[in-house]
Amino acid sequence: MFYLILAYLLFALVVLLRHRKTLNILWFLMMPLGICLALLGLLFFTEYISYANFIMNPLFGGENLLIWRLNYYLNLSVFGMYRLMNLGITLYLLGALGYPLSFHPNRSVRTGGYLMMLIIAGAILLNDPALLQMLFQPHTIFHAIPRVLSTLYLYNSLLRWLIRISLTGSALLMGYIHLKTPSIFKKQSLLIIGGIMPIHVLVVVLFFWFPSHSIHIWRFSTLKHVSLPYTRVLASSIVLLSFLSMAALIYTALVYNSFELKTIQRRRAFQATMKTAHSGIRIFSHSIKNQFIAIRLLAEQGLLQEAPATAPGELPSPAPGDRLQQILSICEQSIARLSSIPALHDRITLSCQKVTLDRLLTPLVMEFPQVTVSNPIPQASIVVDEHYFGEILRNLIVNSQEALLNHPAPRIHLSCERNLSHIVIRVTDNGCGISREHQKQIFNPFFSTKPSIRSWGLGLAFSRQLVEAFGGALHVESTEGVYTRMELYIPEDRSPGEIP
Amino acid sequence: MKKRTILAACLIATVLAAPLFAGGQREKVQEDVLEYASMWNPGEPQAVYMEEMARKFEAETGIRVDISFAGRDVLTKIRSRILMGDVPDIVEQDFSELAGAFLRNDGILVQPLTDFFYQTPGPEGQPTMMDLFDENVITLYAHNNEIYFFPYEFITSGFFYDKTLFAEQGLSAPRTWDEFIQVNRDLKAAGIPPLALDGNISFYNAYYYYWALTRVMGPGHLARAAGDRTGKTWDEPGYLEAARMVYQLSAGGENFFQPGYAGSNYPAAQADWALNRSGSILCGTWIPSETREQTVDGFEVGFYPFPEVPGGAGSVGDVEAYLIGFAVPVEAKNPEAAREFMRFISRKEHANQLARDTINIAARTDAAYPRLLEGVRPTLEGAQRFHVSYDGVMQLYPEWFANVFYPVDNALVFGNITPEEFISRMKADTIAFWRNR
Repeated sequence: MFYLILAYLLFALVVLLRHRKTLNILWFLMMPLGICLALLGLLFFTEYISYANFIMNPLFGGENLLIWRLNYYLNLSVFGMYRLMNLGITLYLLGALGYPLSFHPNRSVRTGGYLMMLIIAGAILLNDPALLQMLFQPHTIFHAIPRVLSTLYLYNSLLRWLIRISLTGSALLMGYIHLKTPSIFKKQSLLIIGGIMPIHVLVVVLFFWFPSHSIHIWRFSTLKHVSLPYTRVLASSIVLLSFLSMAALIYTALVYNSFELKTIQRRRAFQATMKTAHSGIRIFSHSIKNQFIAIRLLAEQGLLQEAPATAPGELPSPAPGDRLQQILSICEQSIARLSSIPALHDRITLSCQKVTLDRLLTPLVMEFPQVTVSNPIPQASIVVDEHYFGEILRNLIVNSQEALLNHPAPRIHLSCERNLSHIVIRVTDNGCGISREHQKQIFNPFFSTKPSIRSWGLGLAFSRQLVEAFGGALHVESTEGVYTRMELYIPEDRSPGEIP
Repeated sequence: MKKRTILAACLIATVLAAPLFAGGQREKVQEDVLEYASMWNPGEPQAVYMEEMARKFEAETGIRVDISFAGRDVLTKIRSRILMGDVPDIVEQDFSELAGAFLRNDGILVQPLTDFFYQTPGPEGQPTMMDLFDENVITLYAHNNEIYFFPYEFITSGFFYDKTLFAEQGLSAPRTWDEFIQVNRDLKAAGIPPLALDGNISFYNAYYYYWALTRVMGPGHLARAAGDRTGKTWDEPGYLEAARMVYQLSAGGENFFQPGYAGSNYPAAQADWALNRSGSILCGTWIPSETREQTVDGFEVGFYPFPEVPGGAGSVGDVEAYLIGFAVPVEAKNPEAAREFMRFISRKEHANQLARDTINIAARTDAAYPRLLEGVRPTLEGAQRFHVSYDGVMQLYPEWFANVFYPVDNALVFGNITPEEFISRMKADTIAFWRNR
């Protein structure tokens, strides 16, 4: 258990060092840090009580020598141990409530929740032994003790219930947030809960019997006959649970990237991919261009052979409907297009900054007057590259337009709303829709349901990579022949700071 | 960044873990300093007394006594110091605690004082230090024929009452169980709750059964039953008889305790007793001192031992000896000074001062009694046998006592279970307790 505390601490520190600017992570980190402090306090406390009563420490029996040695330097009194537990539990509760609350879309709910959290934290912190020391002086203890004991009993009972209610509230809040999480994030959300819940249960089990103050003042602070309510079975379960929580946390946080920890990495990876792709495209387009040039030369020669003799050095005038002339035209267009590719994608460097939705969406609405907008655009900000984000939306709208060609009553609808921690932008059209089979493929590069010279099947693949580089997700929902809805989830930025 | 993070993490881990593996680094104290870890809290009468003794000792010997008043959990507080080799020269607690902490199966952590008792002359010229004490009391806590602890305060337990109140009611201190029951009935008839008890303190509740059993079967039988893994000992009739005695007093029997005693928070009941709102209280000899500022005018403290039972193996001659004193750790840096201090504090004038200033009985047998505890003197002087408090169960089987005995005993004292249920539960729980060891 002692080493588990160290592991929690190191885990928290590493995550903190790497992701110190992510607000949600700070809430989240309060949990491992809180449980660390609380466990450390409990470690000393149970050992202290056990030794004072000549009984085996039911929780940390195998580590008692380490504990005592450590306390030689820390020199914690039983009050200090209690304070450590108190602080740890407060920190844990703040994290456990603050973390799910930080996802709530409603600002007033969040503010109310934070206020409530402060009250709870204050109530628990008020339970500090310093208060006791102010209330009691050993020499007047007998006069004051009945009154203060009953007060303390009441306060301790209140405190215990407060802790239990807060933990239950936190669990319920996490469940609620999970239910409200968009389906594409459900797996991530489940893993986050999977990582947190074992710690949550651990705290509930360990601190269900949060020590009472009355033991400290009992007969001039003697600790005799305070039996610890932990059994060996419980202790083994706790150790198992704590290792489970640690494993789940590491797995969730690092492997599954459940806390958007890799957004920055993704952004960098995207740029690196683009750089590599750019070199490839240059070579590839150059090679294809050469092919087209060769075809064009052949077509020109064919035309010369077939055309009636003209003055030397003069091209024969093209005849309408002539196949060779068509080939020549396609070649000209393709060569021009291929020549422009390296210039277009010369350098893709994302310049992400905080932008309001209004600033992002208003120009698009102006640009595409046929697009209807239902809801008022929320007053929210996201951190994206303004230019490329516009390109993504344009791409989605143009796709919709293409799907609505020859539709008797075409309709493209743009909506935008908050969903927990994300902003969801939906582009919906009542076009031909996408078959289930194709829905799985549309994000693959070079896949297109309408292959042509213009559509190379790169738009959605590129858009999805970009959206992921912004820490979001792109999702398609469609019924063939009825509608297509593209959903774009981008994390809302709630950090203070000016918008450029 | 990654390397730096790992490096930072390693550094933090090293800093955190370093104290765990480091040895004690405090320097050895000077020879003329005596380090004394005390069980008292600053300002308590015994603490004031010890400070004065320390000053006198330094003036006489030049050895400075460095007292740290650690409170009742002194043994726990100094555990880290002992483990790290930073050992005080004298440690003070009651003998049960000292025995539990220092006379361990995995090693004895204190120095034997047998030679000190038998080979060192007394402070006033007595042939040996043992001549100052009752040898039967001192050897109660001997371990493998060695004496390890040196006492300066003697505590026993029994019933305390207000002589004035009893006189007003025409009552006298009972000696037998029947007399005791009659006195309680008379008090109850007069509208005075006969017995005071703070039910939230299990070891106060435990006094009743332990004393009843000691009177019925004699000392040593509670410890025997606690240590019997088969639980068969509980089938012996004496255990049931003692349970019946306790049950008779409880809410399930004649209900002699003050109303709501099961939920009474310490020290509510003893405060009520001091205010003459109840008749007697079964407690240690510290109770007159604790309540002296609360007693009503004319309150005159009286004492009677736990009553005898007709045909019982125990008698009022069986007296509990609960001693407070010193131990000298094996690795004490100045053991000679420790012995000198113990000898110094045993002087008659100092023992008398202890009794006077702290209202406690000195361990030295010829010391004066404090006025409030004069009532205890006849019992002590008539003692035929001594036994340790709670039959030694608290030090021999502390987990059993806390987890098996207390819950069932509380239920009996509160009248929630019958004597027969008490026996069957004690038997079953004791078997279960040992099975889980």
